[in-house]
Amino acid sequence: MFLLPMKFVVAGLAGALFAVALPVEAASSPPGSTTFFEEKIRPVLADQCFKCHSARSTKLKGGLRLDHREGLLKGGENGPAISAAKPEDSLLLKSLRHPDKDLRMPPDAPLSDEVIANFEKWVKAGAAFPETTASTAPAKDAKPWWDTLADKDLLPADRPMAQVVDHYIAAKLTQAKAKTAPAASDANFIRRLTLDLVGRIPTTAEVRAYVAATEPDKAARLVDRLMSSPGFVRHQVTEFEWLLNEGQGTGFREYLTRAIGEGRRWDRVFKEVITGDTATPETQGADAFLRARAKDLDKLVTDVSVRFFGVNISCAQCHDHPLVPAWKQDHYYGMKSFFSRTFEHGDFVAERDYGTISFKTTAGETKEARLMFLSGEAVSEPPTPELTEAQKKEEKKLLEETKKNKQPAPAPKFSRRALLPEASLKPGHEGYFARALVNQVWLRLYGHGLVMPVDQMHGQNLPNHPELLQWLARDLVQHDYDIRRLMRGLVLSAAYARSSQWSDGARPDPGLFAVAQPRALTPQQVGASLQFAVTGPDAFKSTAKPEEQAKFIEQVERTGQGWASSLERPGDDFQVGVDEALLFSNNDRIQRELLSLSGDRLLKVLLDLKDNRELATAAVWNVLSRAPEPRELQAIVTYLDQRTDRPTEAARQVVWSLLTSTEFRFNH
Amino acid sequence: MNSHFCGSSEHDVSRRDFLRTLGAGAGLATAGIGAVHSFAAPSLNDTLKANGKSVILLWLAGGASQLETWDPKPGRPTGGPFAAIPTSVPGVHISELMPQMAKRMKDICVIRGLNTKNGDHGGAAQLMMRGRLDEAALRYPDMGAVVARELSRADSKVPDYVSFYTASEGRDFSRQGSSFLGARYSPMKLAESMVPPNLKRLESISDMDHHARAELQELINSQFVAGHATGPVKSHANAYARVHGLMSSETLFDLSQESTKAREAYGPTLFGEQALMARRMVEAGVPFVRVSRAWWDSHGQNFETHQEMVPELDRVMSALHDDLKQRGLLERTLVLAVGEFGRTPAINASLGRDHFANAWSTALFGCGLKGGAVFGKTDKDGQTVVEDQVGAGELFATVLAAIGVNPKKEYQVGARPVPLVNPGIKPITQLLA
Repeated sequence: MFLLPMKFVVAGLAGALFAVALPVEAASSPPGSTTFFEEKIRPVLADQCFKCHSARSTKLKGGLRLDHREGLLKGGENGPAISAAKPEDSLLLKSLRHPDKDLRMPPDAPLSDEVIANFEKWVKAGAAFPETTASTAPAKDAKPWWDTLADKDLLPADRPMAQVVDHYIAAKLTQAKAKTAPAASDANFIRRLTLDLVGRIPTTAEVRAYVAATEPDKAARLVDRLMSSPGFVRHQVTEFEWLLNEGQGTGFREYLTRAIGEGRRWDRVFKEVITGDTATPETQGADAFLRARAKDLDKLVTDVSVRFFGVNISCAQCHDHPLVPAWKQDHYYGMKSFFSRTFEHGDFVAERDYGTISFKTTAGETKEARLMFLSGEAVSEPPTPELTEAQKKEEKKLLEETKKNKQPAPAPKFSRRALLPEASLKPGHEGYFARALVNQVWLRLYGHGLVMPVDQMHGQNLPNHPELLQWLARDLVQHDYDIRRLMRGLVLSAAYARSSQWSDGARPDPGLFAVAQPRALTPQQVGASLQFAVTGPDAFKSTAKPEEQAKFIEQVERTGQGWASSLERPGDDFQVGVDEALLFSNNDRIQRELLSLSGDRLLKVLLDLKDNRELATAAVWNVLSRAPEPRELQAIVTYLDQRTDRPTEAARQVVWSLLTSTEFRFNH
Repeated sequence: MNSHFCGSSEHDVSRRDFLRTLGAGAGLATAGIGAVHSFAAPSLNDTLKANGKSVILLWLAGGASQLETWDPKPGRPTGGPFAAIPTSVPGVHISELMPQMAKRMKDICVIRGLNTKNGDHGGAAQLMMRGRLDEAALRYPDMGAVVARELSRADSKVPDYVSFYTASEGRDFSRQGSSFLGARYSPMKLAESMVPPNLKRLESISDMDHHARAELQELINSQFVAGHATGPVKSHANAYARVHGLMSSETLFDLSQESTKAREAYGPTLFGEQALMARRMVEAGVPFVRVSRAWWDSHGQNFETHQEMVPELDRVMSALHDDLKQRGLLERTLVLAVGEFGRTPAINASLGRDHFANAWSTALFGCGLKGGAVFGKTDKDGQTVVEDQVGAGELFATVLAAIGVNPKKEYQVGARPVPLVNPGIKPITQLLA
């Protein structure tokens, strides 16, 4: 029963898949932090000041903008609102406390002493004002960042991808004068890579072999071995199934398995998913994405924009985009027009060949939408046919009949939907699609996107490494939208292989990639890894034939999937809930399934070992994929030594404490 | 950010209160926790955030009739068979089915001008729980998650958000969720049992070993957590650090610790028992408890249904009121009785009333809300709101404002600031102290 609520959460993540909630932190946040700003300052600014001093002001008072930091520094007619040199003399603070009612701000009623004190603290601490969240309306003619980068300014296309990654990251690190973490140990690296490529922790034998290997190109060999294993397809299918469809939809997994298994071009996958044409055996199940959304066209157009183009334009449904001057309501309804003739038809998705949509502008005028891609280019189409009453009647009859017989509706003579892949993959317009795909894969492997948030990849949201993103997107387009090539290049960089450990003060900005990010395992990774961790090391060694070994690995992986359904898929600012800790602490499934004494289970193997030192060492290796630290070894041995009257229980508790450790729960 | 447990004096008081409620037996287990998880500096909100305030939501699933509760129309064609009775507030009448609440009207606020427009169970449940409907790209957290997020403490020994929903009716309609606030603020759901799952130690491990293995886990964690001090990493260690505190809250769910007199006051029904548990929980510091009472959806035999169910609501709600007041908890506990909508003034052929969201009522009290206030007015047949109309957003904002949370506060979701209530929505200041 406790498992159920968490499932709800997974299903409920629909809209918030890419949502980033701010670090949850309140009363004690330091005044210089953005949290302090978001908690104490922004609400007051929004409530009391923005009406007259922001992009949303109908008439900007005193020429002063308070909705971004430059506005405060630049000030209005009376000079800067805050003084960086002498914060305590800032005009902003003076006007909050001004004794003359006519000069005091806000004019209606003074702020409370407590609120003013917060403002003082905030200004003195440097007036932190996060740029990405500022409701800054950029200049009307601001170019998207990618238009300011010429092709010739990028590194040559024939450079190895990993080198290019490291080149651009190193350049920024130098510029920021930031330190970097050292390279991760071999054991750390193989665990990270195995989790990323095949979705599980490595076996003890795999770790030991990798650590012992001496070839200079052993990392590349390992990448190639993992990428050619069947587990690679299974794990990537899980990841892309989630990315595109939140892991739902009949037949979608099978479809992706065929597509990823044969290394299908990703632009083709995109096309098949959007057209939803399931006529051939290769494309069966491709319509799952449409089927899940055909009932709600706003959701469909939002999800297509977010998941395939990395932009969330849903706000333009009601008003022009506040951050992107180029995006008007025309763009939202232009995008929606590709799908406006799509409808649910029993178990199928159908499309009409007529019908247009209109919308109401904020000025109250009604406008007919024209097919338009995000790049702003209107897409031409044949004139919309007008149906006679008789034709409409006939159509209705045909639809009722096919629905009753559980058949698909006849295909339209002309499909608007099919124009979207065409318009968005046309040379010169394919950047949205390519950059979004690169950013999503990058985020998954590096724990932080090149652009954050991943659904805000618009022209005004500068990536942390613009040239790198452009280079990678160009490479993807020039190499058949090959996701394997992309992943291979990304995991072979020195940046990917850095340690995640940081003991030197505050962790550096994740966008610098100076240190690897610890990433919470996905439910599938947890499930599979738990099973690998509690399977004794010999179970993997003894099988001689590679096919048998592969089969055994798949079987172990599968047994873990039961656990996956009880966990939440981590989002960007994931927090482990206490119900997970309670589940792992007290549910008897843990005891029965993970800590049992039967067959080839780890616990059985451990109890056959001669002494407690050996036992502790083997347990740490099997669960955490590394040798124990002396301090850990000491603690575990002591724990066991103190419980010689109940050795089985003691060993069980040791394995429990390793399985539920934070280190195990993360890809680090 | 790095202050440890027991950093503030307020906290000490609250912990003492908590231990007192649990009784002496639990003291031993709890005392060990400081030592066991001393490293786990709470990464979340480690000081007492608001003021120890709590909300109890009595969720009337299916939709109770306003005409048989807070807004009777006796003698009108829509009025039904029940009379209206005077209350302790001169001029204010409520249904004769609620004599107990009538006596306590001086402490109660009634809103008679709800117009929430949505008469579909699923959509309306969502609307009332979240104060607004979801967007295509954004699912909003519900009231419980928002209150838990705003009022809970990282090191709390009790759950942040508990939801009782035993009946099957409407359970799926009113799915709760923390959405972008994350699993930390998801409800602990009690559906099939009165005690949460996984709270009890397995018999195969002794209490001592249960604590000892957690200590060993902590030791294994310590180096990793120190070297990877990110929010998600700390939240994992933190979740485990709360386990023993929560386990000791098992006694919270044990009603046998309540006097016979108290149990009698609430009545022998499941609803009554759960409401009593809700009181035990807010006393121990749980910020949000929802107690659901289903089967209000009286499309047929509306009057029999309400004749049976309203007196139970009357008893439970008045017992809760008295109990909270007597324990001095009324100033810091808000009680709200609401469902997804009300019921049609028109009486259908099966003597039922159907879904109706255009002119209905709710009642709330506690946390300094102005007792005796009646806000909003419907026409003589109860068909439309003629004065002071409010929607789900205003109700949501009023609850937040009453417990000291600024409804205009914004969460940052990606690039987008998301206010706790939609722009332009204001709390009903007339009801606030």
